[in-house]
Amino acid sequence: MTIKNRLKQAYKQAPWRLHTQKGVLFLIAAILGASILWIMVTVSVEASSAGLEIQYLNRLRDEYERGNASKVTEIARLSSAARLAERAKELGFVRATSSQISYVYVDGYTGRIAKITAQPPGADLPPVLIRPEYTVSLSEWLMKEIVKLNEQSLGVSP
Amino acid sequence: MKQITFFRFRFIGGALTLAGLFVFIWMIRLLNNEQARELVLEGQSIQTSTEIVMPVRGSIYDTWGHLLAGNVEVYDIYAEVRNVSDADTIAATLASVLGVKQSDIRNKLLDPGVNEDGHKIVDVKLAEFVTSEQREQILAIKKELTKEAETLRLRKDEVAPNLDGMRFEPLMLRTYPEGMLGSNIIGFYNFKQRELATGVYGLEEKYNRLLMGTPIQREFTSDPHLMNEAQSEQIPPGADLILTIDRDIQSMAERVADEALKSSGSESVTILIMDPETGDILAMAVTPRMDPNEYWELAEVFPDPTTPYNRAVEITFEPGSIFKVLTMAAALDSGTVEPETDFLDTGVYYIGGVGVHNWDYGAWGPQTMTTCMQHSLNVCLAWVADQMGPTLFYNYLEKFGIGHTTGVDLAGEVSSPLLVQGDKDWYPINLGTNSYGQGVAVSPLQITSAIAAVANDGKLMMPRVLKTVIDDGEEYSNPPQVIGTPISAETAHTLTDMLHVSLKEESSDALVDGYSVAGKTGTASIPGPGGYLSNATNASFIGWGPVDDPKFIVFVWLEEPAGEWGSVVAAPVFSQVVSELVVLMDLPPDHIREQVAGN
Repeated sequence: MTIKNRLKQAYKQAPWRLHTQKGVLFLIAAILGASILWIMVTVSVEASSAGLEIQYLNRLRDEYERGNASKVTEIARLSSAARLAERAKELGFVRATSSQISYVYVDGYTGRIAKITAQPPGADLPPVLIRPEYTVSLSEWLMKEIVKLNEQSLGVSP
Repeated sequence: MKQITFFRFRFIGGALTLAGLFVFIWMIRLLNNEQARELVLEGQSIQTSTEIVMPVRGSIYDTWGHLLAGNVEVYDIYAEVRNVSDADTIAATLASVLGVKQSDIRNKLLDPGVNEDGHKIVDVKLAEFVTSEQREQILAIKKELTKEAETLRLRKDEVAPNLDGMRFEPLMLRTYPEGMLGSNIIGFYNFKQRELATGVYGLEEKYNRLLMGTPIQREFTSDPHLMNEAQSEQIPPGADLILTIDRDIQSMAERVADEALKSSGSESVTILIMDPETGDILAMAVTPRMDPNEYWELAEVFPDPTTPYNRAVEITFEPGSIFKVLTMAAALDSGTVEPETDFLDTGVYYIGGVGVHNWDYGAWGPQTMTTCMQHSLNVCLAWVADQMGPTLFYNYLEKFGIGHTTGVDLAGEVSSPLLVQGDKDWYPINLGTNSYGQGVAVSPLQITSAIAAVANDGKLMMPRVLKTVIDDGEEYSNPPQVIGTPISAETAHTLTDMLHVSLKEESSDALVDGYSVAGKTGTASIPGPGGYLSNATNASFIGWGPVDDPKFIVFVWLEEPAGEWGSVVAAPVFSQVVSELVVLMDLPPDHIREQVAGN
């Protein structure tokens, strides 16, 4: 072994070390790639699931609202004036006349109070139901941002 | 060798990087390309659809919260033709449950035809407005068929009976749970017109915009990624209306009107009940009425297109003697006469050269104003009007709102013009005939509203049907409005006492045990093509009570009854209405109220 060869050996890695380094680098790149892919897929799946759930909940809400309205109407139909009169007659009730009624003075009684079963005000929900990061996939977001930047540089109005 | 391998790696790496960069730049170029944008838009148009979503129509309640008009869930049945494998079973099922023609359904499924664009129809509507009960029946059949299919052994080309491809699309249907009750007030919603549906007659027409709410244009997408808050936004329903109408009083008034129609042989009967203090209409019963749930039968219920849907506001008539209340009110208020002013009835009074006679063509001799009203003497009232003079007389009528619509919140209100001195068709005799309600036309609501001022310390109220609007949980009230004070409170009390005494003195059929009422009968001739009809009259009665603190005013109008006189046919109807009304209004008899007031 000459002096030249010995000097070369002093700073050059052994071939097995180089192979190991390359292998590790490749693994890191592969793991990074897989991680990005995994994140993209996860975000995409979450976005889809959230969207589908919202669609389902909307349908459910509409269904309940329709059902409630139908039930209110059905109750009204079952307790309609004609039906109640018919039912009272069946049960043997007769129409009272003024002379048959005993009136009692009740101090502070203000009379019959109306009960209106009107719908309550609309729920004051926050305007955004789903976080923006869940509404687009990573690739879509990236492309949108690039297009936006491009449009801005070209002076395209939004 | 090692150098070559390294070079290869670098070359491949470089090439891949360049290729990646090229793809990336190409994508950017594509995204910014006009054609690409058009394609993206086209793709979006397929993926998303824009629809106008109609809010659920607002409900209508009576004054106590009883639902008069609401909504119920029904379904349209569609079939996706490509998924239908057994058209016969679908047709047979729908025919048995819905009563539709089996062959029609079968033909729709087997030959769906083409749409306007010339494309084959893939989604066929098989039935509409299917009720929840009918849907349940169909679903039960479907379940049964699925169960049976599991046990069947089929050849390769055989299909088990099934309802595949059929689906239900829910929608809200306008419905009126009280049926005919108050249908003349409420009107109806012609839901079969779908997107073009609108309120027709009554409140449905008058408050159509409030009831329908604000339609919203909404974008629907099949891509869950594109779900946004706009798609989830809850559409507020149309506003709810709370009426002044009392369901139980309305029901009673309609029942009495129907009975009166039968017993009197009248063409029609109208009963109006109002709170004179607020102008609130508590009931407005008319004949005929129709069930708004089956509005398409309108032509059957009203075969004559000129027949008004709501006689209380959509028709005018010559009121006859009940109009004397306004003449006397004007005369008392202007100081022309007093209750005890004497008048000698000779059986005829000439005005403008034409003689006015009493209803019996008799001479009633010495009278006071009270007895003039009690005996309903035309001669006396013509003299009173003449004493006032046309200017004063018509000024008062104007102040009572005669000749104008009342402004009630119902669609289709009409009024007839009031001819006054100076008008082309006005003659001096008009003053005489107008004094007792002939030659002047009013609607039932107009005359009730005008005379209600006498029961309300002289204050004329705007009649109202709508009490409150509830829009998105916020309550907006429609307060009572005083629209004028035609006479003083003193005059109003004097006239009320006169009419109370009149009824008592003549032991009128209108009297109600235990309650003090004031009122006036009316029998009016009916104008025809060549003058007044000789064989038909209109009978009416208007009265209010209790006289010391009026809580109601009731107007009864029987059109062309078999009996000739209002006192014979209309007064007993008034009495019956008031007898039941005081119970429904929790109004104790006078002696109990006096006891309470004395404590």
